[in-house]
Amino acid sequence: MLNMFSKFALTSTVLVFMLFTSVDARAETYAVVVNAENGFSGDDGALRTQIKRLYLKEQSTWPGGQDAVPFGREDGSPAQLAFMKSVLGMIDSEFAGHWLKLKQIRGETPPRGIGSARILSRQIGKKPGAFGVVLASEAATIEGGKILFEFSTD
Amino acid sequence: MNSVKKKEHIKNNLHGALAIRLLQGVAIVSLVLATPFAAFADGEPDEQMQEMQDKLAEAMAAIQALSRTVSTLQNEIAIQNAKADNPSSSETMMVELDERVEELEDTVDTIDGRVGSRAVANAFDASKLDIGGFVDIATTLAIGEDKTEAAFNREVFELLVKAKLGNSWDLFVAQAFIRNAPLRFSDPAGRRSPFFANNNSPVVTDTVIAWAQYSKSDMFNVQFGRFITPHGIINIEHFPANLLDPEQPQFLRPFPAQTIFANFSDGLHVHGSKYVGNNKFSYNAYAAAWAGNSSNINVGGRLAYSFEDAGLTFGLNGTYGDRSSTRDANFAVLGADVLFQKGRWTWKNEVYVTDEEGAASKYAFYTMPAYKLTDKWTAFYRFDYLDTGALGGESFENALGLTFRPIFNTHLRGIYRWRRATSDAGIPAADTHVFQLSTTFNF
Repeated sequence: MLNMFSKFALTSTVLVFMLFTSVDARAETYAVVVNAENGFSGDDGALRTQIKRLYLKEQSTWPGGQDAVPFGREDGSPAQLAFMKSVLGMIDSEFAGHWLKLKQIRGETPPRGIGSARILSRQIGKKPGAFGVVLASEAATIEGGKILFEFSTD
Repeated sequence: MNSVKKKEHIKNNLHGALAIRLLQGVAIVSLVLATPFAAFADGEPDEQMQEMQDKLAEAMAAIQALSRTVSTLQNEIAIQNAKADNPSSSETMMVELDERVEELEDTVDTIDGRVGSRAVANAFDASKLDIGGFVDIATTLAIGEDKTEAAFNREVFELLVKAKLGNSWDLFVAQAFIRNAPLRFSDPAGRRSPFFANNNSPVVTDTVIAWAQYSKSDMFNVQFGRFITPHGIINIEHFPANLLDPEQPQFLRPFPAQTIFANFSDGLHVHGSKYVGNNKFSYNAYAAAWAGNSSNINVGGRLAYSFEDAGLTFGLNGTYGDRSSTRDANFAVLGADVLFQKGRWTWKNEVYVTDEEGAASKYAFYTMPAYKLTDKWTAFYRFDYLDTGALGGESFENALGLTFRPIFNTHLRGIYRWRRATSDAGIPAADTHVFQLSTTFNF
């Protein structure tokens, strides 16, 4: 009897654990979207590196010479956190430290963070060098934009 | 109005229109058919027959037109019924419109929260204007061989302004308001009796940086004006908000003199960078005057190469010029720097040697490893050596510090520094122990 009870308890614990971990591990897929005229291409690593350099203002133009117009998302939003972690590879303090340094040395400020995916999409569609991050499901509907690459938060 | 009522309303409207059209059609057909019978009684039979055939043809045409109208109306009813039966398209549109309005309201609310009824500041002639700055405060206790002194010895407010003048033109100004009482020594050998110089002096202002920049590309930028002398690591990072230890190494003191090279230069500065695969090449070249001898032009520069994957940057520095406008004091500086920055580690190293006309050569170096204990806490150590070549001019410092960033724009530090002036030509060595608490708030 005790053995059956133990098995039941163990099974329940495992199921509950699986339930919670499956909820926690639910991954969102995001897309870095560029203007449709953007001709930059490369493997996934090259694309991420280029976006990182442009977003952090270590470079100001795309390899083709087009001025880059980077956009971020609202501070603390899931999209911005995912972008920082998966594309920039930075934690909060590193990110803040980077902009603090650039502010003091060159007077640079972080790219504008846009809360609304629609407003961001409109900006990307209008400006040739623009790019930003949206949910992959939102990316397909962007007029004048195209997906550069997708990434997941897991 | 809910979808059921809406559906009924549409149906009623369409049925009404159909009934009116049918009545009109019946009236026309009746009139057409009735007319020949009335005429039959009065006219000739052939003419009457012809007239009747004509009228019949007209009646057939009217019936066909009526039939088409009925068919069109039936189609419209069918379409409207389908829409009413499947409200998803209109409802989806309404939901989407609601979302958009909510987003716009949120955006307006955010803007209103920032601006409210206040006036919006505009730059007179700049297309973009960014303003920031920092306040740096320090309190220091110095225990020397003969004397102990303590003071709130540094309060600096610095305003940073960046203006975009055009597509390729920028202006950057750092205006400082400084109340600074640096640590000095009052004994003849300058090593035993610490004191804080100018501790009661009024605030002085200093235009730390004021440059205009033309940017052709990442590889070619030209600055005109007053800029940070582009040598090494720490002088380029320069500002207290960036630094773990706001007291710069000995070769950059006293501030803003030119022990090895000056902190600031006034003149022309060309710089740029280019990525080569995962590595980055950067250069700086300048022709500028230094503090204390504005009539002389020094030329110098820096070449650096970064291996991004390894987190390593190597730099070479060199400059040539004249230290004095009143005597011949040509000099040359050669230096190297190595920066390692990866994961939790940052390790800065710089070394310089000079060749001076009519004076002894100078030599300086430091090594400074730092380890990020947590996201907010960082510990560092710095060994710092300077030999000015002058009598009693050799000293080294060991600094151990802990810094804390409770929030991103606040930097608190506690630093212990042991300074030793070494014995030289009969002057005995002397130690000074310095404890400093400092904080930098930036915005």
